[in-house]
Amino acid sequence: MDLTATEDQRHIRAAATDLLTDRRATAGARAVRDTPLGHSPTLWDEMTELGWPALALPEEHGGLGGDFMDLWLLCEELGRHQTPSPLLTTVACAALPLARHGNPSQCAQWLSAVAKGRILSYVRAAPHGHWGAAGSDITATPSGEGFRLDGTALFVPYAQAADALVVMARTDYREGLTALLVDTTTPGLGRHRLDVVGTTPEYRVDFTAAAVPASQVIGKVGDGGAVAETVANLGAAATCAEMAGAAQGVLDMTVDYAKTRTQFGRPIGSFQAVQQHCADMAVRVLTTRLLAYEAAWRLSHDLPAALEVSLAKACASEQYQEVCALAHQVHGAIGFTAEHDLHLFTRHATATALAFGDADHHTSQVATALGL
Amino acid sequence: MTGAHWEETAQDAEFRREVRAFVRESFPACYRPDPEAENSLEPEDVWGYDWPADRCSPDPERRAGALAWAAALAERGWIAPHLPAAYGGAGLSPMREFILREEMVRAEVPTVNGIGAMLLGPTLMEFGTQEQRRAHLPGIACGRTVWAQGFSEPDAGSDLAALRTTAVREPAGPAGPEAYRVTGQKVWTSSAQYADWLFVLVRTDPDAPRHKGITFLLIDATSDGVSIRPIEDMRGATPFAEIHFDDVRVPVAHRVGAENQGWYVAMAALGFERAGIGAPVKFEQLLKRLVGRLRSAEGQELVRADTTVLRHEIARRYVEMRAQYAVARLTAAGHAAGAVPGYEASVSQLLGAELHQRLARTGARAFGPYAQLWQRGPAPMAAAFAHMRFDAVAATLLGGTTEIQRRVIATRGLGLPRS
Ligand SMILES: Cc1cc2nc3c(=O)[nH]c(=O)nc-3n(C[C@H](O)[C@H](O)[C@H](O)COP(=O)(O)OP(=O)(O)OC[C@H]3O[C@@H](n4cnc5c(N)ncnc54)[C@H](O)[C@@H]3O)c2cc1C
Repeated sequence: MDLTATEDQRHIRAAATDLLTDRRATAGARAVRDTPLGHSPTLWDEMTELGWPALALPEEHGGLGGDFMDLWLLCEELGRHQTPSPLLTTVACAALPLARHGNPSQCAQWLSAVAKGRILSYVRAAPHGHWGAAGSDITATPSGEGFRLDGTALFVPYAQAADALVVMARTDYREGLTALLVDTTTPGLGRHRLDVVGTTPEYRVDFTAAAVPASQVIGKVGDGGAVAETVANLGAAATCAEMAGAAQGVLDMTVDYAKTRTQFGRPIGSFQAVQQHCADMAVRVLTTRLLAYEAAWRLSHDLPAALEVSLAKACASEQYQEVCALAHQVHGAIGFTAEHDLHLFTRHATATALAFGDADHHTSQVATALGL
Repeated sequence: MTGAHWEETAQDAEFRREVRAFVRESFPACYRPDPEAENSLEPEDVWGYDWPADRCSPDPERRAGALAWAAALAERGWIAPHLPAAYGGAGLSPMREFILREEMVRAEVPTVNGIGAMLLGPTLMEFGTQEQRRAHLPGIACGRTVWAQGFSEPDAGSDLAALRTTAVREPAGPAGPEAYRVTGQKVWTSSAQYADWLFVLVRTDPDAPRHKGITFLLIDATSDGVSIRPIEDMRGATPFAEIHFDDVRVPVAHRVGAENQGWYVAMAALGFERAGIGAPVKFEQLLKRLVGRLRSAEGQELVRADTTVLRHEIARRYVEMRAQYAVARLTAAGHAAGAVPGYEASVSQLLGAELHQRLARTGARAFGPYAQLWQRGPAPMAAAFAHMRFDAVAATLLGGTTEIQRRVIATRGLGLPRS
């Protein structure tokens, strides 16, 4: 057992830190919040040049042959710097599931496209906003050479920027879900940006008799549940990376502040009550990161990871929000201002706590795994 | 591949199997506690054992069992596994020591000579003289001598440097070689009533700044002038004692490190206290039993009906336990890689102490009104958790209070200015 980073991993981290620090003013959450796509296409191009979307993809499809852990490290840095990016959505929620469940021609077409900077997104298997991979609000009805899709999906990240969506749909003649790869230029597909609390742009996607050829089914009709599960596990684990990195960022920012802000003639960090808040933050950050890391490590080694993903997400969903609350306490009024960056993290914490299942959902999964 | 991974090496896995087989074959059957008995436990130890007390128990079977277990461990060098073989240890790496401890807790067998092996052993290796190592380490490693740690005093708990027990240097004379005369009082000394030797902090220079006038001494517990009185705790157990030193002569050769440098020796000694793997493993066992109990027919009858809330509560405890386990592994991995102990040990202790208390309350809550029963009677698990609620009271105090752990994390870990 060895929990120190490899040379390569340190390198990935350092390079990401350099780029993201440098581009903060033009591509950070504050800079892109009100832009049409909700992220910086310029920065996305730079990331593509650097091979970020290609990193974890297989070499035969234009990838760099890394593993999920490499992607995880990048997500951690994106969280730490609060840089909205379609990287997680594209790779963890679409490209890697496609690599695992898709047929050779789908992989050939889409994985190399992602490596070259095309963006993908996904429609969750989550009817009526519930978590879990139990169903879908989208129906796929056989029609002509393929299917016609109808229904409305909420919370589809980066839908406007995406070239295609992995969609989980219901077919009424077959049990289970069917996963389909849907081009976003398909007639009958509408995208509307939602006004959400978080820093990730989220969309409502409407399907009105949108025609999808049968060749775009991922895996087999009715076997989409497995795809949905892969999306949910990888998506949750990558989100935990963002959360762990972000929580670390909040801790660092708060400790710096506590060392420099003075009251009663001394740094507030010398007051024991403030020290205890900071110590509690450190404990929460450390445990969040370790559990997130363990889950990611298992996923990148193809070991069973559903329990570890739930442990990590249950922990991160509660701890990251608590870390933000403590950080606000230490910052005083300045942290409540729009001008200060702390609220970007608080928004992110609120949204990511819900992404891929909140603490209650995952706690319940843990209970089930324990046999309760 | 080097670098981050959670799996253990094939050799370490083999070592784990070896430990399991050893415990299975060597643990004396007569030492297994009566499964009907409801024993309290110290946070770092396991059910039903108190090795220092057991080895001098009036019950001959228990005494024989405790001694046989110590002998079996000693033969492998596994009482003080990290010590070199020349002193009776096994020269185990930190990772192997971690695995050994983990497997012992899993098998629910007791640690032998915990304080002597884990605290004093490494301290003597680093600060002791050749003489002292030869004199004391083999006794620790074979389980012959039991040690107790006398740091705290009535007016010096969290503020350890406020200690007042004094030692005055006295030249050689008819009474013996050059010595310190020690006078004062220690308190809360775990297992002192069973100890053969004590390691204590004394004040040797009353005029020096607080931390600079303290010396670290080894004191034979049978010396004239040493009196030890067990203290009863809220459970009715006697895990610790108070010690009075009345003009006790301690040869200068029993000093560890230089005179007035004892503070630094003591801080290093506390640093050797390994971030406990014992606690998370024990908690995991407890959770498993609780779940098994809740699922059993008897459990279904006894347990409160509104189990959905309980289900989540137990799962939360499991998440916390896994987090604590991950921190313990991180600490061991850092230790194995030669890293200077950081604040992770304090994180581990803090998490473990607070989790211990929450877990006890969760477990007890599962049994509704039966959770007030002290005896097994109709609700065995209820009694186990009823006991644990009170065992856990000390968890957030002993080994440094959680307030002090948070202070260590803030100042040493995060670099915040001292108040
Ligand atoms: C079961 C048990 C076994 C023990 N075994 C041993 C042993 O073997 N050897 C030994 O030497 N000692 C032992 N101790 C003593 C233990 O180390 C002390 O109890 C502990 O350090 C706290 O000291 P105190 O009890 O004097 O409490 P105090 O120091 O009086 O603390 C009381 C309260 O004040 C708080 N407080 C004190 N100072 C500060 C501060 N600066 N900032 C914030 N809060 C503060 C504490 O956190 C606590 O909440 C044992 C204690 C127990 C309960």
